[in-house]
Amino acid sequence: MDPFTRELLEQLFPFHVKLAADGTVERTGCSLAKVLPEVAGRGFLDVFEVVRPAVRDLAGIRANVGALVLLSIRGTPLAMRGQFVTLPDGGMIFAGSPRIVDQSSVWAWPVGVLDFAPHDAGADYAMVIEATNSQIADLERLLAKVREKERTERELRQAAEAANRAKTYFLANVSHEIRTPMTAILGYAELLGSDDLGPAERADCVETIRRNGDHLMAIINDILDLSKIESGQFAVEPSDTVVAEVVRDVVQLLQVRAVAKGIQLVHVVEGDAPRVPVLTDPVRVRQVLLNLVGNAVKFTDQGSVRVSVSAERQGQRMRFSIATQDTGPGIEPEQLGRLFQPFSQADASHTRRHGGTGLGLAISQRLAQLLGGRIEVASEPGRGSVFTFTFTADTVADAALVPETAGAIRPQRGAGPLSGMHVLLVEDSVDSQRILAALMRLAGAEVDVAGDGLSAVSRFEGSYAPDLVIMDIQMPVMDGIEAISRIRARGYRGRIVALSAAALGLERDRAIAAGCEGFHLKPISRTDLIALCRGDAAPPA
Amino acid sequence: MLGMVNHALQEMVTDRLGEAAWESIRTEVGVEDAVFVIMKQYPDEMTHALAGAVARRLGVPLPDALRAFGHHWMAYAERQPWGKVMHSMGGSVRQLLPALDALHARIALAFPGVRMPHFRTEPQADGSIRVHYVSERAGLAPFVLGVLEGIGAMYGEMIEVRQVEDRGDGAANDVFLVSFPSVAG
Repeated sequence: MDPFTRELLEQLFPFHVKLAADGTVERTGCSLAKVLPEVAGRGFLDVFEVVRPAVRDLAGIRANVGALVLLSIRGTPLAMRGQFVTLPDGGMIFAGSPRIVDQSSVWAWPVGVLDFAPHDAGADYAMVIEATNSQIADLERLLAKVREKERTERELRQAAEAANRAKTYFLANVSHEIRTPMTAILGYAELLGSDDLGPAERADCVETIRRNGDHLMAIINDILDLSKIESGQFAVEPSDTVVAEVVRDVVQLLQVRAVAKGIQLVHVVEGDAPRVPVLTDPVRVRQVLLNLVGNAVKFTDQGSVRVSVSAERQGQRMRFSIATQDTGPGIEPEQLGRLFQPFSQADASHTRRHGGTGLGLAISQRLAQLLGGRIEVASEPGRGSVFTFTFTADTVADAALVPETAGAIRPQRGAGPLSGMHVLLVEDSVDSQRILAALMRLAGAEVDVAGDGLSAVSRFEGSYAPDLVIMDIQMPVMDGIEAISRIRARGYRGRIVALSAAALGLERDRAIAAGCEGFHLKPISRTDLIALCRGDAAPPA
Repeated sequence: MLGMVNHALQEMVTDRLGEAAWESIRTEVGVEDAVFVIMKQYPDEMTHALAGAVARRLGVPLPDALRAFGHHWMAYAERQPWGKVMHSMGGSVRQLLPALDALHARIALAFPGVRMPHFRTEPQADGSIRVHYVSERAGLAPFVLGVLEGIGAMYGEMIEVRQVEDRGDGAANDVFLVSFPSVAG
C-alpha cells in the first residue's frame, strides 16, 4: 500500500485493521493501536470475533465483503461496526469505528473524542447520550421541586384544615358551654318570679343563678386570658408566696368536688423546702393548679387524686415541682401531642362527658412558661395521668390562703297550661333538668327525667308513651341523635322536640333527619317552653 | 443560550449570595421559571439581563462579573455529564485548547439549532498558545477569558491569559494569549 493511500486510510478510518492475505493482522489504525498496541502478526480471528454475520474463518469473511459487520475484540467489552474491503494483493481491510450505543459503550473505549475521525458520528453519540443523562437529571430536579412543592402545599392545606376544624369545634364548644349556664340562669330567674316558691326555694334559685353566673364568668375569663397571653399583654405580678400554702388552698377548694364524686383528694408536701417564701405570682400559680387538679378531679370517677409538692434550692432560687397524679381514664398517645394546643380537646366528640372550653391546659402551659417553668404530662390509657408543673422563683419573706361550697332545689307541682300532659325530658345537665322539669311541673305537666340517651331509650319498652319527648343533643353515653333514631325504631309515634345548646345548623338537620319534629336552642324562656310543649311554637331556624 | 448557562449562573449566585438573592434577581429580570431546563434554548436577552442584574447585585462592572462567571462555568461544566466528554479530549491545557473547536462542533452537529462558537489555536514559538474566539454573539470576551483561566484551574496548571485582540476595538475576532509561566519562565 502506497504511503498516500495509507495516510488517507489513517485519516478516514483511525480504527481500521489491515489483514494480510493469510488472515494475520498486518497493522491497526492509530486510534485502535491505543487499545491494541501489539497485535501485528496474530491471526485476525484470534484477536477479533466476527459476531455478525457469524463467520468462523477467512473464507466466511471473504464471502461477506461489503456487508455490514459487527466485530468484537476478544476478552473485552469493546465492539466495532464497519465493513471488509479486499485489496488487489489478496489482503483485506476492516474499515470501521467503535460501536457506541449507550453510556457504558462510550466509556468502555479508552479513547477520546479526538480519536474519532471528524466525519465519524460515533463520537456524537457520546454527546447525545450525555445530553440525555442531563435531561434525565433535569427531569429529576424538576420532579423533586414539584414533589417538594406538593408536599408543602399539602402540609399547609392540612394545617389550615386542622386549624379550621379546631376553631369550629371551639366555637361549638364555647357556644354550648355558654348556653348551658345561661339556660339555668334565665330559667331560675323566671322561676323566681313564680308565686309558688317558698323562701328556701328562692334562696336555692339565687344560689344556682350565682353558681352558673360564676361558671359563665370563668369561661369568658378563659377566653380573654388566652387572648391576652397570645397577644403578649399578659404580665406576671410577683409577690411574697408560700407555694405549699397555695397548693393546700387549691386542694381544700377542690375537696368539695372530690367528696361529691366519692374520690380521695390528698396533698403531700415533701420536706420544708416548699414552705420557704419565694417571689412569684401566687394568682397565676393558683390558676395553673386549679386547672390541673380540677381536671384530675373532673376526669377521675373512682380512686384518688394525689398532689405532691417538692422544692429544691438552687442558690438564691427555688425550683418547685408540683405533680398531680390521678387514677382517671388516662390519655391516648395521639391525643397527648395536642393536649396543650388552644382550641383542642382530647375528646371532641358529642358524647364527651366533661365540659370546659378546651382552653384550660393551653392557658396553664402558657402561664407556666410566663412563670419560668413548664407543664409536662405522662399518661397511659387505663392507668391514669401525671401532670407535673415545674417552675423556679427567687427566695424572700412570708404569705397566706382561702376556701368555699354549693346547694339543691325541690320543684313544686301545680295545675296550668300543661295540665294532664306527660313529658319525658332527656337532659344530662342537672341544673337544666331541675329548671325545665320544675317549669313544666308548675305548668301542670307530669315529667319524667332521663340523664342520657340510653336511659331514655330503655324506657320505651312495653306501653310507655309520653305525649312529648324533649331531647338534649350533646349527652354522655348516648347522644340525642342516636336516642331519637332508636326511640323511633321502637315504634314511638309521639312528638320529639330537640332542645340543644349546639348552635350549628348541622345539628338541627341531623336531629330532624333522625325523626325529630322540632328543634329549639337553649336557653329557653318559660313561655317558649310551654308553647313548645303544647306544640304552639314554630321551631326556630 | 442553552438552559445550562442560565443554570450555572443561578448556581453561582446561590453559592455566593444565597437562594433569596437569586429569587430577587429572577423577579427583577422577570424570569418566571424557577428551574432552567439544561438542554432547552432560552433567549440570549434573558441571559444578558440576568448577567447584568448579577453584576449589579455583586457590585462589580459587567466584564468582571462575566469573567467570574467564566471561572464558575468551568467548575460547573466539569461536574455535569459533559465533564467526562471534556476530559476525554485531553488531560492538560495544551491538549484541551486545540480540541475546543471539535467539542463545540460536535455539539452543534448533534443538536440542531444550538449555536456554538468556533475556536482556533495557534501554538507560539515561546510555548504560549493564541486562541481565536469567533462568535456571532458580542460582548462575551470577558466570559471566555474567565473560561480559559478556569481550564487552567481545572487541570491545576499555572497559566496566564490575556486578551490581545478585541472585536470591540475593530479586530476581526477576539484573540487570547494563553501562556505558561512555569514553562516560559
